[in-house]
Amino acid sequence: MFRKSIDIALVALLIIGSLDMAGVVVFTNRPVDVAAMPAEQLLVVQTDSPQTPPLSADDASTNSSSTAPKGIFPIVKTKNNIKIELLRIELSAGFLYADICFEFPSDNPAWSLGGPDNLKLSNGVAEIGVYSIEMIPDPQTGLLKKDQDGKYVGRCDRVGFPLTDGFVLENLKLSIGKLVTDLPDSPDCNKVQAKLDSKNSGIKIKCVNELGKSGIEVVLKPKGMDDVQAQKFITESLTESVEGLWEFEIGIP
Amino acid sequence: MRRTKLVLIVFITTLFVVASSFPFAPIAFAATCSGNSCDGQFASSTGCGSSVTNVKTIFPASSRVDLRFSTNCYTLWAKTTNTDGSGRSFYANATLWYQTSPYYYSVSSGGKIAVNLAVVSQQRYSGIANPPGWKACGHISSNPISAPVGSPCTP
Repeated sequence: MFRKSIDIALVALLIIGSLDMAGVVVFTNRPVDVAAMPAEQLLVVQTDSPQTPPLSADDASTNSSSTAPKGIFPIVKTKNNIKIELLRIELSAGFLYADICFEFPSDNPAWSLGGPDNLKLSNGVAEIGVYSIEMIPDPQTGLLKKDQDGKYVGRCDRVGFPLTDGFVLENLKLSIGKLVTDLPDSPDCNKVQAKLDSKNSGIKIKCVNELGKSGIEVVLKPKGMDDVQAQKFITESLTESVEGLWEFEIGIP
Repeated sequence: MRRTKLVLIVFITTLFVVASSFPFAPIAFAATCSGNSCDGQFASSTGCGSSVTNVKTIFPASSRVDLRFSTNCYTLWAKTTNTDGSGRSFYANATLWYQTSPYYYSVSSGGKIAVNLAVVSQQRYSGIANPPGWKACGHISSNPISAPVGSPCTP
């Protein structure tokens, strides 16, 4: 009889556990309800310009990309189920600023648009990497967007590109290669080492345990592997990322 | 006897349910400071660095300067990272500017730091993520850097 009671308890546990996990999946895949931004525009931006390439097979089949009619924001691009919106473009003091909102792939406040190698403005001739990123606080939280369960689900940023002399403002394309999490201040070295070992990288690391400093040092790396390659391995093991590409065609009439 | 067994079943079930909920719960790191008691301390040594987002970032040559915000302590600090694409080591400084005396916290690296290593300033309680006038400044250099640094800075 007692054994039967235990069985009943275990079955109840399994059912409740399954429901719990299902709930986690549902909540982490919630779409972000991006707040509307003021539509003030200092620069008229034209979408669907003649330079706009046709949708790729990926865009057409696996994603629900949509493009706003000419001159209307937001312009929305979806890739790998992650939606990114271009809300506004502005030229000011030698910079082109763009307001961008994006969904977080997971409940982690460290998601970002990355740096100059990843977030670029091009005109088909030259490329400019991003110089500044400034968070646009969510009106409700004063920080990042959260869902009703308190999970972080997205953020908006104003990103700035320094316009160099001779950079022609035609056929502009803003591209985001991937979303990444920023390097943590206090990385979990054991976790990173385990990931490096699982990739057979041959890299041995140690964390910097000194107040005022942060990061990971390479203790050992295979012969023939340079420092840049080793750090790339480490960065990939330290951070999360979701590949794009998200591209926004912006033409100036 | 039957009643005792029923109570036992309910008790064991409850115990299992409570215990099974822990692995799915997010890991919460308790901070060892709160409010102004965090001032002047490092986020990494107080637990404030366990949940962080960048409020503002700039990308000077071969580096990045972040104004970082702790989502559990509501503090801000500056961080400057060597991101040199050629793998070179540099001296670095991170300075957090705010509007009450002593006006700033600044940390310079004693020696050159390798790529992906960073210098991090002490934190200051702000309560909100984007208080006006607060900014992170810093850069890297092949020569030692005197603290504090006033340029380049986040917006």
